[in-house]
Amino acid sequence: MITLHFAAVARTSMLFALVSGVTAAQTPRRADEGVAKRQADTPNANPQAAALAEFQQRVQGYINLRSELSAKLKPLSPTADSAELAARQDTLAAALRDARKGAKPGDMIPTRVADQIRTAVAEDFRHRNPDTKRAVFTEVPAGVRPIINKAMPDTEALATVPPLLLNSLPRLPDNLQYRFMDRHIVLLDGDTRLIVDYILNVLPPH
Amino acid sequence: MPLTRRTLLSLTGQCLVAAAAESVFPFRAGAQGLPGDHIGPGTTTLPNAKDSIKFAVIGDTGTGGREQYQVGKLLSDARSRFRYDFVTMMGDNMYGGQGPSDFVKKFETPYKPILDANVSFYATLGNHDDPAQRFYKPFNMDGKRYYSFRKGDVEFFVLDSTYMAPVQVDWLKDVLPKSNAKWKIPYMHHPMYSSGAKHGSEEDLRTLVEPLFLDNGVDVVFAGHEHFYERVRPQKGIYYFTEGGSAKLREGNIRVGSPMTAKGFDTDNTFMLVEIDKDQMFFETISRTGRVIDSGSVPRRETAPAIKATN
Repeated sequence: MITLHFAAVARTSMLFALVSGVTAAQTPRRADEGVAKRQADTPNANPQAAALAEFQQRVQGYINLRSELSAKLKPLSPTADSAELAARQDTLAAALRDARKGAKPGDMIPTRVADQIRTAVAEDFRHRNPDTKRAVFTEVPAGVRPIINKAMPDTEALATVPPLLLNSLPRLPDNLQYRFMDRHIVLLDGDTRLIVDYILNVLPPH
Repeated sequence: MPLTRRTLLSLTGQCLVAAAAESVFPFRAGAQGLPGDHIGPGTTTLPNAKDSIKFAVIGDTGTGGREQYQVGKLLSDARSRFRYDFVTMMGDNMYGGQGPSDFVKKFETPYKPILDANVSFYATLGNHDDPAQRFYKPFNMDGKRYYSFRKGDVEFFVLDSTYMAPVQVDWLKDVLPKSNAKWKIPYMHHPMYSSGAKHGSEEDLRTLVEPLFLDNGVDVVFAGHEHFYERVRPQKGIYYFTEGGSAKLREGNIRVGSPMTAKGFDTDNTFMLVEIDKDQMFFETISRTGRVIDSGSVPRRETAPAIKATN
């Protein structure tokens, strides 16, 4: 069962890795961003690759915004003063909220990428045995709906996204994370716990 | 007294499969304490060798409750007989609120005597921890979700098992082979092997990182998450310890008859004292009442590759 599951995930991962590899290479360089845009503009271009490129650009845009705001404020850096740490985190969160006032679902995750994520999650859970499914779901906060720019409450556990599933999702920079919230997937800012975007009803009922 | 399921589980937790385990982990001849003994000031089952690496292991600590304080006191008292230099934290360093007062109540106060003695803590993130804890200096994470640190012949690889994205696996693939430490000890919140009825083994994690551990001479792995103590039978030659009961306790949660368990204890809170002296790792696990519930030693696997003839 596990072997079958791993093989299926590996197949999915390889497919996404091929596509993500193209997009990851395109993201940092301006010239390549132009290529991605031309691809998106060309009717015959691979629409999935274009959507992934678009996603990577938006993600990078968010990371750049956070870096700029962080540089203007006191950046998050090691401190022995927990009050100072909380204050820096709150200030950065407030600045991000302000800068992304009016952000709405789908602003970060294009529909095609959201569909790809849905497919990857469905495929992953289809091959999981009941024990591993149960282990995943026991940690997931239930009965909550994500709201963009709202912080995930620190009283809630951050449910662990299965590592093999993470392998099959489009890659994110280190401090932006996919997390489960009820049946939804949120894009969570790891520094501020702010919900940056979300996709509703991705997880199977549990 | 009727034998209820709870009673049965509790009894099982107290005397889990020790016999087979002891043949793997012989208790040292001449040790001053044996499992079951109350450890008084000045006594220990550990060698207390000069120049050895001495540390403590605690996990799932951040409740701010009575049990955390009691274990904290024992941990502090233990330094009078076993002078450990640092403490490894297996995650869930903070349950519930993570505001400034929580850092005081759930970390700074219960471990104040140890902190005042300049003992360092090295934390890993658990699923209840705000990732921003990595910026809290006393946790020595230097702003990183995953990191490594070295003490003499021992290198520790601290992983964030709550979010094992490919970038972290790539990091591990890079740093593990480069390490020339005699002992490579990873630790993380989620156990790769566990007999816990609530959570159990993290199989995804195992699929991804176990091959790296096997290929790179890892001997011992520590984890938390399960609110009990478990020493797992060696898996493919690697020793796994779960210490997730240093404040929280999930009583009777170790699955009865689990073939993985070498020793389990799920009836009270615990912490571990560990000493690495040359090619042996000695350990002592102590309950909240000060009883040694497990002790023994683990040999370092011979990992040097065979010398190939060149002509």
